[in-house]
Amino acid sequence: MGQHSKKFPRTPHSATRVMAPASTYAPASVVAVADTIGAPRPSDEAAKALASDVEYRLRTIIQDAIKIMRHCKRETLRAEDVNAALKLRNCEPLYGFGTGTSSVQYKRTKEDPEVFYLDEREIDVRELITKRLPRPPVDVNLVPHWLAVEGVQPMIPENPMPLAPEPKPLQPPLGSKRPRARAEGGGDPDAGGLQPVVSHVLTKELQYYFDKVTALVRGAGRAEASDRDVDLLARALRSLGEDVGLHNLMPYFTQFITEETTASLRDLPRLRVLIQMIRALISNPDINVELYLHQLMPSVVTCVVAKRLCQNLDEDHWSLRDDAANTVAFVCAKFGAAYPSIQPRITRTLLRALLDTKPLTTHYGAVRGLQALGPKVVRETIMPNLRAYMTNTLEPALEAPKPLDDSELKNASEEDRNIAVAKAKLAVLRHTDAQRVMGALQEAVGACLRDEIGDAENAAREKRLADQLMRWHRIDGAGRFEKDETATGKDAPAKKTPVSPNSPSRQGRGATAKGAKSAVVPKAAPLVRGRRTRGTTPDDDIGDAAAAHAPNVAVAETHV
Amino acid sequence: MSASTRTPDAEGASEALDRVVLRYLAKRGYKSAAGVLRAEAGLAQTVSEDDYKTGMSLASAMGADAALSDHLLWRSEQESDPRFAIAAYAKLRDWAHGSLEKYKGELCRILFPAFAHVLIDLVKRGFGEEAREFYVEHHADHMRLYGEDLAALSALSEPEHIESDPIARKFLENKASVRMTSYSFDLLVKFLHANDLMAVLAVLNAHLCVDVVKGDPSPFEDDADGAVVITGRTPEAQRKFNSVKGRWGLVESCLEIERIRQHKKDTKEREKERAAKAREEAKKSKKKKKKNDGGAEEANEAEVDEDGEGEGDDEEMPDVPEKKEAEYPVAMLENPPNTIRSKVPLPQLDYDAYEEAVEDLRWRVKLTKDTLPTVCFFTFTHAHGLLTCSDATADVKHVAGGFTDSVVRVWHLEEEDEDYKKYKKEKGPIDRDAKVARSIPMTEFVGHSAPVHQVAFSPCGKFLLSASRDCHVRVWSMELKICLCAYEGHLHPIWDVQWSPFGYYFATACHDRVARVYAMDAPFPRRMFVGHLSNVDCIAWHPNVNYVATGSADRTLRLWEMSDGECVRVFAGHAAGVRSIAFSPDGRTIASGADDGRVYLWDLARATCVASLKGHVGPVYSMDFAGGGGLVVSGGADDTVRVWDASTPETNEDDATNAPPPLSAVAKRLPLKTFPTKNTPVFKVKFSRRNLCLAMGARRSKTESS
Repeated sequence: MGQHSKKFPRTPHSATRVMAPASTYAPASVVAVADTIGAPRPSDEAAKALASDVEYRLRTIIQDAIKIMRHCKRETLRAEDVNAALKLRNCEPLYGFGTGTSSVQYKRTKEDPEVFYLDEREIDVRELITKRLPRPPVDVNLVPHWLAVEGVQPMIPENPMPLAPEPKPLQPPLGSKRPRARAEGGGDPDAGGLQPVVSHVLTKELQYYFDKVTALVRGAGRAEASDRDVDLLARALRSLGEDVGLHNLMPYFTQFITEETTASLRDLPRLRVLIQMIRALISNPDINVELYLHQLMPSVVTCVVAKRLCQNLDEDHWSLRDDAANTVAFVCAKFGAAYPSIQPRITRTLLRALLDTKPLTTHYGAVRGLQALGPKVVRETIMPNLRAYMTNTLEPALEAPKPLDDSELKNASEEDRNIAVAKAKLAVLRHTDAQRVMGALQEAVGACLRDEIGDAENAAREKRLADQLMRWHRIDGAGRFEKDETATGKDAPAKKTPVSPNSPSRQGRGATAKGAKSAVVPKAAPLVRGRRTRGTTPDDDIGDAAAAHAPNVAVAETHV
Repeated sequence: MSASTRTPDAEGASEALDRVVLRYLAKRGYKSAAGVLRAEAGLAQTVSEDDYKTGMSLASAMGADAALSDHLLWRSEQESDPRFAIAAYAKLRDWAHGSLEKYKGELCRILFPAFAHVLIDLVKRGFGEEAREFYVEHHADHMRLYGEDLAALSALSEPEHIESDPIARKFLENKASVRMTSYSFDLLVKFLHANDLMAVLAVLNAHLCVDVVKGDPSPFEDDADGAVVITGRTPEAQRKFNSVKGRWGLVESCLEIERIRQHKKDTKEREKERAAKAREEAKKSKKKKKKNDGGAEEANEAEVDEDGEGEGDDEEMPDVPEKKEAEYPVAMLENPPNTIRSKVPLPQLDYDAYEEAVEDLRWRVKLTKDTLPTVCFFTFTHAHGLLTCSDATADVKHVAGGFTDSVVRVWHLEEEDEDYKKYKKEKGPIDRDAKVARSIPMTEFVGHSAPVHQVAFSPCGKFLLSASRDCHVRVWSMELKICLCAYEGHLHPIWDVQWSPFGYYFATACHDRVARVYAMDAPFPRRMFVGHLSNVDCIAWHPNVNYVATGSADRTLRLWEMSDGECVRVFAGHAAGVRSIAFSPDGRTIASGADDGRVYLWDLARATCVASLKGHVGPVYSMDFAGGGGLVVSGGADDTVRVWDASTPETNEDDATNAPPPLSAVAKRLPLKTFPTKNTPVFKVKFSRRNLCLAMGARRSKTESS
């Protein structure tokens, strides 16, 4: 057989593409075929007419072939279908393209890249004869099994796996993992797994919003955030707190917050922003936060009682704890009615944090959290345990740390000296922590007692006090501890921070971020002085009230 | 209003104008005004009616605003530049796509006929190149709904092709009917007028029947439901013979009826016996006056047993062992259909087969939405690409497969093969759960000379029909295991063959667009049903044997009367060729599955679609109704067996007079249950007589599936 060459002007296999719209069989192909079979070269006119007719015939044959393929209940066209279509039109079938020779390879000629020829291997007859015969095909067999029994598909190997592969959820571009769509993935296993999986679809706008907000939170949470960032963040938080239509984003925000919290446990500024974000989301009236509370609360409680929430030990993590504690209280107030179990659970968690042998920072957070939950909670939780706690935990810690003994250090090696210095620093730190806890306790117990007395006058005063308290609280995290610091402040190593005696108390705010160690302790003295001089200001009332209503604390104080 | 102003003018006008006005009035329903005009103009009633029938075929065919057709008559078809037609189509297309959502669906529907005719017209006039360009530019719009037609149209390039090409002939010789609401139609006409798109208008005039209906277009148009189907008849004509009263009841000798009759007899007998027993017991109790707890208990048991019968009788069961009823609910036709007298002489089933069938029906499980069927799947291994069709007997004793190697293979499920016999002799019968390879004995029926496209067991299970691409139908004896006869009469491949529900007759669906009916005793066809515009792909018998339904690649479903060979129903609406048909056992509904996976249920009496079953994503190869009705099961190329609710909404006989709702308004249903198979397309689903669902298919080899 001579080499059967064809010329396809565009694509070599376009003849098999039934839907190919443009004319695929060019007049040039007709000329090429005529050349190969030795026929006289047709005129252009004739070639054109022939080409269009050949294409028409080819297409009809392929359509018939497709029809036959369908009736054989197959989805792939085979050479045998084309042959059957040819037979249907009383044409000679193409021999040599049986079922077994599916991979027919056409090759381009070197001279003309548009001329193709069939690459046929030469076969050695002797080799063919000596070759072992191929194995006969496996016989057709019939195998019955239960596809379904009374409408339920049994889980047997003959049936497919019951669960359809879950479609992959879209990834938000900034790398944070998306939570699984809340709609049930996979559907009912009885349904045979082909139940459509309801995926959580976000609009482009919402995705954009999500990306922007998360980027802002990440950006503004850095220490070197620019003013613009801070400003934008404030706006974003306001938007989170007020905008409608954010509900669809809630699962993503929740996930984001959870992951960010765990990832940046030492990143105080970011945690601060995150707490603000949670607050904003919770206060948004158009979001069903209830559904996500169980995911959000761990983050908040972490920010209350975590052992360490900052990079440097002297950062002001106290205010973060206070914020978080207030958030907890806010949540309990808002959803306590709908979920009566939420407050007891949180209370239990906090109490456990307080009573366990945990670092003092955790204790502080627990006390603040319990206090924020209200005086009743304090009475129930702290009061019964107060004495034990004081004697066992707090009092040892409140003892003033020993100043460094220079004489001892002189003899010691460099290394030992360093260790000793570090130890001393730690001791100081621990002491200040203890003072904080003490202050928090005083406040909590004081509030509790005031609540118990609860006469009208007191209530009014209390309100004033509380306001004041809040103001101070806002002004200066350190301002509340004058009581014990009057006792201990003088012992504190004053050399560490030379604070001018008349420096206004407000300065402390700026200093807190820099280092609690330097800011807290020495500031106390001027503060106290300032307040004392003011005479009958509400400050005195605090002290008086605390002293009057908290005999335990007073005892503790005098003891100290 | 307009009538009163026109009437005086008409007096002086020419007769032609009078006619125009008359038609307009008639169409608009101004009967009195028309009468006045007719009287004044002195036109006889017959004149206007003649008008309809003669030269003005369009007006009647369009059944529409007569003003349009008249307007068209003023203009002869312009011999114009091909570019003009192309531009006109483009304009129409842009306008239709840019129209209001509400009317868009309807307006876009006329685009395909317009496209096809512009294309054919271009080729016909010798503008092959322009036609190709036109095709390239616009074919994408229609690819989804009209892929097959497009493939054929794209091939046309020479005027000579038009003469011979079947698809082109189909378009030229038949009118496409398009359904439209009157407002959309007005919009269209106004647009064509305003833009002077004479070329398109001429095409629409010549080749389109617009079926104008009242009301608003349905808002949830699924465009797959609105594919334009050429049925070869005008909507009027179609409506006319779709309104022919059919005899959809069952015949007296039908098994279902027999079953109901027997059930009645049984219950009567039982009641009698019960009464007798009660009397006896009453006597006894009078004598003994003792505890009757035992009796009460029995009564309770009886109640449980009788639940499924729906009879509500609370008396106890008689102890008649040989006539024991099943403990589970038994399927029966719920409202026994009216019976008819068959116009076709019916054969009698032989005694044994009959008794067996009745006994099987007595044990037939009732299947409903809540009690879904049990499906037994027969996998043909190593057979993908080889197996083309399969069937099983109603008693599930034999399973047959037709293969591309021209062989029909039958597996005998109840026989034991030689190896197993030997094994049993040596070691005794094996446990059901034992993992001993046990091949099913198989017989090869060799006789065909081309791939076998359908096999079918006779209702009695004694004969097997096979239809092949070699243009022969063969009938094989299952007892003798030989070929009894080869039936001639076809010149083209036979795609489908089915036994009548009583045996003896069988019908074939052929590639040559004709369906034929044979009786077993003669090798030539007894009936030929001609009318389909493309090859007939599937065929089914009405349970009363008086009708045969055929489905074709021309996307229509037709119903033929056996006695006189007339077509009595045409159902159009599928957007792809019809691949499978099934009648409901009560003979009132027909289900049709198409190549695009859509299944429709059609009500025969009202000649409308009653439900659209959405779920399959490939051709639906086979369907069957559960015995007793209520469920329909379908199997397809998407490797699933799906179970559907087949209940039809209550029909009012009065409704038949109303215009059928458009397909898009039909209730859509999702499958009740989907059973995916393991990489095995489902070639056949069938309910056994006891309502076990059988499904068959050949597993794909791994290379095929990837």
